[in-house]
This record gives sequence, structure tokens and C-alpha cells, in this order.
Amino acid sequence: MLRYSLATMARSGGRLAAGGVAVAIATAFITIALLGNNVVSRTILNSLSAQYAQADLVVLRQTPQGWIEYLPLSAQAAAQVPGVAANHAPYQLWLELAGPSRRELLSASVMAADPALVSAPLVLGQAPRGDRQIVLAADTADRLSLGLGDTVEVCHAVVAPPQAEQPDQTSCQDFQVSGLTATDQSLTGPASVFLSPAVGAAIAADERVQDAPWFSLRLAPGADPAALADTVAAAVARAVDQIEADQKPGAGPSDAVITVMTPDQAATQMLDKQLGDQRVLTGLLLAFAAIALLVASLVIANTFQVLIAQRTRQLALLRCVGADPGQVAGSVLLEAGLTGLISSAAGFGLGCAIGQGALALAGRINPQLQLPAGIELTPVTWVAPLLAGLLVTLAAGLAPARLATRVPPVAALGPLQPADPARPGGRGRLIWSVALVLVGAVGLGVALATSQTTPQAASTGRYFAPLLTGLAGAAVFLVGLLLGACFWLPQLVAGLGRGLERTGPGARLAVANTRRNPGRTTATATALLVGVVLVAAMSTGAASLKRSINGLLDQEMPLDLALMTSSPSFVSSDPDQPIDQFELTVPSIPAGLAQRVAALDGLVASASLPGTAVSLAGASRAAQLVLLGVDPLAAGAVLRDSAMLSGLAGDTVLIAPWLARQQDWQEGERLTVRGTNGDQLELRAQVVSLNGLGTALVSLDNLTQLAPAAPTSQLWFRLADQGDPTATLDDIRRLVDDAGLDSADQPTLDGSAVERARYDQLLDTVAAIAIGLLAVAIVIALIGVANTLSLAVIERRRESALLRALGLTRGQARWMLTVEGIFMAAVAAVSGVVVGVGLAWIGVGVILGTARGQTLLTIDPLQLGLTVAGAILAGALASILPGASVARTPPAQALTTDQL
Amino acid sequence: MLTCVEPSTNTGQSIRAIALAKTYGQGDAAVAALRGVDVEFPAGRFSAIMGPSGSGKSTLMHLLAGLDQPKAGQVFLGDRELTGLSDNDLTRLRRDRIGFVFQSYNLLPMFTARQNIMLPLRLAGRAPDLDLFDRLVSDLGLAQRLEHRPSQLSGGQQQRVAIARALITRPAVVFADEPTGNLDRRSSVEVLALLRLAVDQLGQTVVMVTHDPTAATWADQVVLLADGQIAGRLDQPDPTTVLAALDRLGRN
Ligand SMILES: Nc1ncnc2c1ncn2[C@@H]1O[C@H](COP(=O)(O)OP(=O)(O)OP(=O)(O)O)[C@@H](O)[C@H]1O
Ligand SMILES: [Mg+2]
Repeated sequence: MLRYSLATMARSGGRLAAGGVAVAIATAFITIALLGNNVVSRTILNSLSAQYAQADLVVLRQTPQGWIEYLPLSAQAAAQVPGVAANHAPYQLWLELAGPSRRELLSASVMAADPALVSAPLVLGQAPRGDRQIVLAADTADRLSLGLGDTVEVCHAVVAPPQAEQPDQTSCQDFQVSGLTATDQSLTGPASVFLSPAVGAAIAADERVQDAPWFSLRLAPGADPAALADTVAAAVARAVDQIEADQKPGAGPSDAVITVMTPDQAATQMLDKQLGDQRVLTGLLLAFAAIALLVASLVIANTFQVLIAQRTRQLALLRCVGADPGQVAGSVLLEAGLTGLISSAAGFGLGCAIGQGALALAGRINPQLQLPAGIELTPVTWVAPLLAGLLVTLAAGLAPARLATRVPPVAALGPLQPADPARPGGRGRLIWSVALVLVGAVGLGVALATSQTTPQAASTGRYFAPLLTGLAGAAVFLVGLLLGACFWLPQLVAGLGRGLERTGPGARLAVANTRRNPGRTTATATALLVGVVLVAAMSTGAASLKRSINGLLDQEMPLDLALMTSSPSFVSSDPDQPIDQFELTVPSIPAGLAQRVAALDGLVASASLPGTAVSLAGASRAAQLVLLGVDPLAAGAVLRDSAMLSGLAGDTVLIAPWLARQQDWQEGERLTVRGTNGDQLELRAQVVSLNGLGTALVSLDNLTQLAPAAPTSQLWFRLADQGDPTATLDDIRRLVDDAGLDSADQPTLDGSAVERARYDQLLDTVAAIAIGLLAVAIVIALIGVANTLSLAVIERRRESALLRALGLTRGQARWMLTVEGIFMAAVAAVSGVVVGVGLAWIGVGVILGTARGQTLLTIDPLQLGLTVAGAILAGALASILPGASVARTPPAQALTTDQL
Repeated sequence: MLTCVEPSTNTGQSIRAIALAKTYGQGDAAVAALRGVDVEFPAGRFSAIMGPSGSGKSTLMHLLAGLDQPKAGQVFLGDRELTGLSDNDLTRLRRDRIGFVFQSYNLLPMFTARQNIMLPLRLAGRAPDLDLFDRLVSDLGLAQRLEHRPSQLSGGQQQRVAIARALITRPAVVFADEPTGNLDRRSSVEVLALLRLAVDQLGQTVVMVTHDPTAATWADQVVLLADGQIAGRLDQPDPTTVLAALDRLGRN
């Protein structure tokens, strides 16, 4: 039988090719997903161990669950047992550096004294020495326009002791840049500024930094790491216990233990903790790959079905000469197995090639990533794709194999009448598909009904139950729909076909052809349907989510941008001591700057808020603060959601909740507001979140009454929806810098514009990637369309020849195939879009909660239109090759050759 | 009956071959199927082509019908030369002026009898000649069978549908390649009578390939083919002369 299978395969090679390509693409997809997973793991592992530089041992403090706790710095000395040559603790400091071009708050650390422990190796100059030298990461130096030998002002906070009632101070000193480093490989707070150990220790004391994520050790030559590990662990553990007992007497020892291991061991142990997110990603990738494989299985099953139909006479002949049904089925399965093996091997090779190429490209684009040099073929990465490809092809061959055993030997004798194929789908199938659709619909309904409505619930586990119900419901619904495709798709084909038939004889023939074998049309269209449903659902879901999330963001972040003067805006005071002297000064934004900023392109509306120092007295306590005045009309145009200002009226003052709490002012309480000129107003307190935009707000009229010439204290802006917020932000920063104000008077930028843009971009990126991955399924399905068409061409050779003899021109013959391809693609695309949009809508409802009333079905007509148009165009393209083959066949030849 | 049908301009033209040659394959495998055939099938007559298997009858018919290109020689339909026409011109010519009847009926399985008959007109985008259609249908006894698919018709019925399909365009020539090859005697007689009727009443030119001497006697003339060449010609054939001529061919 093997010889027979090989011989028939050789004859049917071309016909098997399309199915094989489909399987190969799906296999390549799986291979890439697995390889990618492997590469990401190794990249993380590489960077995890790179942060320890060339350390011999690492001291960590781990909870029983494997989480890292920081080590007290004062225990560092304990690690210096005999045999340890050097010892480094990468604690994190914050420094503000003022370069010629800009000021920046930067993460800083000490540069290890021992070069083997330095996680950011020097590329230029030398390590910081003494108490006036500093080393910068090269990119940071660039950004601040600093070079080797330059002097830079470095400021750090001197944090007040916890109990002391005094504010933090700032201490500034000039440093000289002594060296530049490569990017810091440390994963916990990578630093861009490095200090000498002495300076680091002094600043750490000022900033009250008391711990470090780990200690790294270099051992003396000839020391035994294993033996020293235990000694160090014991010594450090003792020191830590001692320190904590001193600091928190009676707290009892923490359940975290000190462990000492090699950097590789530490990295491997931490990998699992780091991989959580990536697992999800790999899972998603594999889910998409599984979808691609499912589509490929539809294509290949179709191919085998047609091949069996074509070989009916041959198979019958085999039966006549003594082959039993088992042998016939075996030969078909053997053929499926060989096809599966060959195409999955090809797909695996393709996947490896793409993986390696992508790795090389990624390495070139971002040399900082600790990428491995090449892909690594673990058993899983090659067994899984090959096995998946093989099994899917075999499974797809099962039904055709059974079909082959049903060919009766007599079929070899009589002339073969192309009988009408039986309509697919029995009662059982109908019942199953209806049942699944109903169960799925109920699942979706339940998910919608129970979907959590508040963000608070989102953080609890209850949020995920409806989500999972919804996902399962959607999956069951879709399976039922696809299972029943043979009942509704042919109806749809018939309905749409009726309209198309009128357009000419070619179209009429094409429509008749799609109807004559509903089973095959259904299978072909289904393969495409799966892809289109998922792409449509994904793009509609993303668009709707984006809009709904924007609605939520409008509430949470009503203001895009605020330019505000920074000043102490609040001083608490005793009610017994009347305030006779105002301690607050209100810095102002110069009018020229305000005008220049407001004139920027990216801004569509602005409001200026004057501020003045006032005293505010309630029944219990009084305070001095900067009161802002807002014009409700102007602010309404700027704010995306004006709920914040809804309580603002002629007789109210808006008070931030934290101020109300601190001063013990109640909602509705009468407050006496007194301005610098002594004028007074009686206003009702309205406690409302001001989103960090100030402490107290009144209407503009009230403010002018208190302080007629109050300077502009804040500027509010609304950004254009289509603009680039980062660019606008940069523009504003530049204008502010150019204004040449004292650093105390420099207004700061605040607002949610950038965060909003990040959300949008994140959603767009995720959706684009998902759609790209799903598009693979569509490509495979289109190979399926081409496959079905060319099989049809082969099958209908005689018929096409007859039509040509009767007067069908070459163009009409080609057009016939094109219409057939377009028609199948259109039916699949249109129904796929309808189903996909429906599912997306439910999905968005479940994710955001229906009760919020904000589930907006946003259809992205461009994207959906492109999907449908793309599918239809591809259907037309898929008909090119088969169409050419029809047109090429000379009518006489096809009429005379009686092909088996 | 078809008596009242006025002959259309298209109906009944002669078809003529001059030094027609055809070779299949190349080099050693080359088979000379036709080697210099000169023959004329007169307009409005019923001609039969006979000869041993492999003598080139089907090949000759395909060339005459413009289904294939000859190696050398010319074919004329009336005054018009077929050889050298482009594929699209040939297709149009076949569609409008040539009818086919095959041994294996060759109806399209997905169309009903009515759709199969109308197919050539649809392909040409011509308005259906309902008059002719009704007459053909009633003469061929197909009135009750029009909405049936080929798989629901007997062989004789399918062949009658095929004849109706060949005649609906009022072609200049009807070619029939062994139209009775798959039929029993009674159905054969029906089919032959119909072809005869088309010649007598519609003035059609009919060219029929056959192996059956009895079928050949329905024709006005018999052209004998052997080894790709014309081997003789019989006018007003009857069973005895046909058998004698075939006998002679067999002996050579
Ligand atoms: N497509 C082809 N390729 C190669 N040789 C061919 C082809 N068609 C016909 N022949 C050869 O040409 C010769 C004439 O064939 P043709 O079919 O015309 O004979 P025929 O007289 O119709 O025979 P039959 O009575 O068996 O139908 C034969 O020798 C045949 O083998
Ligand atoms: Mg023949």
C-alpha cells in the first residue's frame, strides 16, 4: 500500500500542495511562538545575571514565596568575612542634576570599588574619586549636554526625621564629571548617575536610604564559594536580625531568610517571578497559532475530500482487485501522514528561519537587549510543531479515509456520472450546533448580566469570573455556529447568488458551481469565516474599548494639561491666633508666556486661573492657602468632564478632600474667606476631588472681589484629539525654559495628556499585533479558497472544455472562476464581520460593565471595510492561477481525454 | 412538426477541408492522425463519417469544428476560413454557428434540462428564441422533463436534450460524434430520426461520426476514413453498400 500511496501522492502532488502550504504556515506560526518564548526567557535570564556583573556570590533576602526583600545596608559589613575580596550594595538614590540644557531628576547609585562588581562598565574616563567627582551614563550625559570634565550642580533631598515637623531640605553641590558608563544592567532601579562610595554613603544618610536589593561579592583567589556561601549567609542573617531587633523591638524576626548563591542560580530562581507576563503572551500567541492550525485543518480536509472524490474510480478498481476497506483507508491516512510530515517539517524550517532573522534584526535595532546569539532548539520547540502539524493533517484525513472505504467496487465498472453530492449535515449535527449556539448565547448573557460595574470590583477576583464565562460562551457559540455552517451558509450563498446571477453567464455559472457542492463551499467559506470573525471582533473590540475607556478617562482625568506655579499652597494655622500676616506669596505665570503657550498648535482651548493668598476660617480651624478662581465657562471648554466643577456657584468654595479632612471642615459648612486687602466672603464648603489641581477653588467673580489684581497662578489647556501630546508638551517645556524664569518661579507641567496618549497607543499596539497575528489565519484561509478553486478546475476539466466548445470565451472562463472566488470570500467576509462585531460588542460590555451605560459600540468602518474588501480582493486573486489553467486548456483535448 | 420554420440566414452551410493534416506528439512519439484530408460536406445535407477505430474521425471533426488547430491545411465554413482565426473569434464562431452532440451527452450536471438547452444562447448573450425552443421541446418529447437535472434523465432523454441544445442557436453545422454509441436501438432510432428531421425540415447541415452501419444509412452520404486519409465515399447508402465498403477497408 505504501507504494500505491507514494505513486498517487506523486500524481496528486500539485493538488496536495495548497493544503500542505496551509499546514506549513500554521506550523511555522507555532514554531515561532515557541522559539519566541524561549528567546524571551533567555533574554531575561541574561539580563538577570548581567546585573550581578562578574560577582562570585550574591546575597539575597527571600520570603518563603520567593519574593525579594531588601537588605539593610548596615548588614553589608557582615558579608565581609575572610575569603571575600570585595563587596557591593547597589542601593538607589535620587539626585537632581542641572545640566546646561535641562534639569532632571535621576536615579543614582554608588560605583562598586571592585571593577568586577560594576554593573555599568566605564566607557570613558575613570571611576569617581574623592567627594567631588561623579560618573554619568553616556546617554544621560548627552541629554544634559554634559561631557567629561564638565561641572554639574547636583542636588539631593535632606529628609527630615519622621517625627520632626519640619519640611525636607535640599542640598546642592558642584561635581565634576570624571567618567561615562554604558547602560546600567541592573534590573532594580538601573542608575544613570554613579557616585564614589564615600559620597554615596553620605547622600544615602541624607535621603534616609537604608537598604539595597542585594549584595554582590567577589571572592579572594582560591576561596571555595560553596563553603563561603554558608558562612556569609550565617553572618549576614545574624547582622540583619540584630539590626531589626534594634529598630523595631518586639516585632519578632521576619519570615524572610538570607540566601547566598551564585549569580546564575539567583537569575534562574528569579526567572519564574519575571515570566508571569510573558507566559500570558506566549499563551496568546499559541492560541492564535491554534486558530491558524484549525483553519489549516479545514483546508487540508477539503483537499483530501476532493482527492477521494476524484479517485473514486481508482479506489473502486483497487477494491475490485482485492483491496479491503482497511487497506483503502490506510492508504489515504498514509498519504495524509506523509503530507503532514513533509509540510510541518517545511513549516518548522520556515519558522526557524524567520525566528533567527527576527532575532538578528532585533539585535541590530536595539543592541542594549541582552539577546541570545541564536535560536535554541529545545525538544519542545521542535517536537511540538512537528507533532501538531502531523496530527492535525492526520485528523483532517480521517473523514476522507472513511469516505474512501464507502466506495463500492462496482463504481469501477459503469461510466461515472457526476452525481449531485449529498447535502452535508445530518440531524445530529443540527441538534449539536443549535445546542452549542444556545449554550454559548446563555453564557454570553450570563457574562453580561454579572459583569462587574466598578473599577473597585475590577481589582478583585470577581471581575474575572464573568470575563471567563464570556470567553467560554463566545468560544462555544462560535463552535456551534461553525458546526452548523452547512445549514446556514448555503442558504446565504443561495440568497446572495440570486442577485449576482443576473450579471452575466459567467457569474451565473459561478453561482451554480458554488451551489452544486454545498459541503465544499461551506468548508472553504468557514475557514475564511473564522479568520474574519476574529479580526472583526478584535478591531471592533479595540475601537469600542478605546472609546469607552476614553469616556472613563474623561471622568478620571478631566484636564489634559495644566501649567502651574509651584509654591507652598497651604499653611495650617491655629484658630485662636488670628492671621494678621500672610506668609504665602503667589508666584505668577508671566502674561507673555501664557500667550505664547496658548498660541501653540496642539492646544484647542485654554483657561487662565488667577490665584491669591487668603485665609479660610471654619468653625473649628483656619488655614492660609492659595485660592484659585475659575471661570466656569472657560473651564468647561477645557475640561473633558466638568463634574469636578459642578458644585461651583456664587456662594460656594470647592475644597479638596484631604484639606477638609485635615481642617475638619464639613460639607456645607460656612467658611469665612478673607483676602489680602481685608475683604471677606461667606462661602459654603463643597468637598470635591480637585485632581491635584489646587487646594481650594472659587468662581472667578468671587476671586476678583477678594483680590482684583490677582496674578495668573495656573493655566489649563485642552489638547487637540488628533495631535501628538508629547510634541506639544515638549513645545510648552521649551517656551517655559526660554522664558528665563528663576527656578523658584518656574511653572511645572501637569495633566493626563501623556498618560491618555499612552493608553491609546497601548491599545492600538495590542490590537494591531493581535490583528496581524490573526491575519495569518486569513492568509491560510485564502490559500484554502485558491485550493478549492483549483480543485474545482481539475474536477470540472471536461465540463469547462465542454463550455469552451459551446462558446465560453477564455475571458468568460476566467471571470467564472473569479466570481466564484469573490463570491465565497464575500459570503465569508460579510457573515464574519456581522458575527465578529456582535461578539466584540458583548465582549466590551463584559469587560467594562454594562451598567455603566458607557458601552459604546464603535465600529471602525475603515478597518472593517478593509477587512471585507481585502478578503474579496484576495478571493479574486486566489482565482488567478486556477482561472489561467481553465483558459489554457484546449477544448478538444479535454473532451477526448477520459481522466481517471 | 417543424414544417413552418422559415430557414434563417445562418442555417445550413457547407463545410470543407483542404489538405488537412494533424500530428499529435513530437519526435518519435509523433502520431499522424490526419494526413492530407480533402473533403466537403454539402450544405443542408446529412453526412456520416465512418472508419476503423483510430482512423482519425474524431480528430477530423474537432478540426472542422474549430476545437483544435491543424498542423497544415485549411477549413472553410461556407466562404469563411476557420484556420488562422484567433481563439476568441473561434469561440464566438462555435457559439453562434456550430452545434455539438457527443457520445456521452455532456450535459452540465448542475443545470436543469431547460437551462442546459438555453446555455449557448446565454453564453452568447442572445435573446432566447422561444418559438424555436417550444417546437424543439415538443418535437423531442421533453416537455415534461424540462425542470429535471441530467442525473434524473435516461440516456436517450439526455441525448435529446443535447440535440435541442445543439439546434437552439440555428447553427450552420451540427457535429455529432457517435451520438448513438451509448444508446439502445429504440433510443438510437429516435435520435437519428431527429437529426434527419433537422436536415429535412430546418435545412441544417449535419455531420455525424458513427461505427454503426445502420445509423449511417440515415445519412445522405458516407465519407470513409482510413489511416488519416479519405478512403472512399458512398451516396444514398444502404446497409449492404455500407457493410461492403467497411469490409473493403478492413481488408486493406
Ligand atoms: N490527444 C492525442 N494525443 C496523441 N494522440 C492522439 C490524441 N488524440 C488522438 N490521437 C491519435 O490519433 C489517431 C486518431 O485518433 P481519433 O480519436 O481521431 O480516432 P477515431 O477515428 O475517432 O477513433 P475511435 O473510432 O476509436 O473514436 C489515433 O491513432 C490516436 O491514437
Ligand atoms: Mg473517436
